Amino acid sequence: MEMKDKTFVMNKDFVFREEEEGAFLFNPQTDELHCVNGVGMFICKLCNGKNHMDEICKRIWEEFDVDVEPHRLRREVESFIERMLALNLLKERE
Amino acid sequence: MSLLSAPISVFVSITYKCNLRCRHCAVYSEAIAYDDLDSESWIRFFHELAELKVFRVRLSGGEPFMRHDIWRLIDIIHSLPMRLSINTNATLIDKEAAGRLSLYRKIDEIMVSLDGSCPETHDPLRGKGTFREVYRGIENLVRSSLPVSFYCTVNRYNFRELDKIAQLALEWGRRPIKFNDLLPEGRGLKNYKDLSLKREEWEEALNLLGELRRTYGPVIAGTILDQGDMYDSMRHMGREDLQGLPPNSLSGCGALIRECAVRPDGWITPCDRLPDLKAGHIHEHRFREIWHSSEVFETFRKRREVLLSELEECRGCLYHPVCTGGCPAAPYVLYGTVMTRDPLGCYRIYLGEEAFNVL
Repeated sequence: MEMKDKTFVMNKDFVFREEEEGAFLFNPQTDELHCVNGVGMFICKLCNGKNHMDEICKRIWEEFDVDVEPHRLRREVESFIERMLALNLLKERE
Repeated sequence: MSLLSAPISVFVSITYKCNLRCRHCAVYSEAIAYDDLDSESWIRFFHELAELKVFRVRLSGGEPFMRHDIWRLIDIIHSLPMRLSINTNATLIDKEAAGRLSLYRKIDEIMVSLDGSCPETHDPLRGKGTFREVYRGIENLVRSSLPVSFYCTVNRYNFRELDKIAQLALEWGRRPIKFNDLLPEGRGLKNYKDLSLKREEWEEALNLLGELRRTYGPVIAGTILDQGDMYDSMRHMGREDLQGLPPNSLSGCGALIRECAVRPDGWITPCDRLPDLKAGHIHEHRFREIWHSSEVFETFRKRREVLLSELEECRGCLYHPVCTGGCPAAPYVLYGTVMTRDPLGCYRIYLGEEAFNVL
């Protein structure tokens, strides 16, 4: 399955704590702590198992004052999600 | 920088009771006594912290293991999505207690006070027979593979044997050990003149700790080394290095940015070293409300906006751009305000422009 066809969910082992300027993701079992900025937090909240890449990029486009070409935005979002998957912070929805 | 939705960690003085009567204790004073909160109040509070997604709790006291319900409270904390550290004197940790602690998978640190390398130097400070009891407790913790670290209050009884104390910590598996200054609070304030180091003695301790750190690395740490490092960097700065740089503010304290404290009787304070700055009681207000809206906290946070160049005590000082004003607890004890610099961490006082022993 290609990236564009997948949906994602947050790894429930991590506590997701929203802040004004971003969010913490903390795993109390392993003491692993990560931070994401405001856009990262927005993406995380869209990773609810329902939104595909197109929808996530569209919502970012609507919400933020994005200053890059659509294809570049998509590449950056994909790269962010790949990184989150590698860190086990996100999971592909089965 | 916006205020966090809640602290990252909370320092919980879970009891005022202690089985020891250490002369340097910064918590106790014969003049005050707090009633401990009951189990149900603490349990409600820990659940509230979990709702706010606080990541860490540090249990301290008094001596946490004096509480009859301590295991129930640890069980509750451990069942919540947070991690736990414990400060203890270790005298009540028998083999069974250590074994039980080792079953918890989310304990980050068990910090044990260790103030001497033998009964001769340890016990005059903490009571007859205490060295053996502490030693036994530490052995039980170490044998159960718990993450033990040490805290040593450097004072006139032990400052010449810090190497031997460090050696003990290293023999127990290269454990981190903090060598910290005596705090002028609680019984530590009452006995300050007797226990605190004179300038030459403090420098002797600093040199010894510097050697230990060079030999053993960062497991040797603490406020004396931190302060020594700061003084050392200031010593190497000339007027030309500092001229034109903007002054720092009173920014040397992390309280109320990422953490705060709770007294045994349920009053929330900025830090365990400032027990009189009561921001609100957990029976009367939600913790979130206290963290965000308490007048005491709002005033305390304004400390970070006070420029050193605006302070009478710091007038004419060359080091405004690199100094952070130190800890607010000592000025609070001395002058009744946190809105000034810590005289115990002041380079000008250290240089002898004012008396070294300000108390």
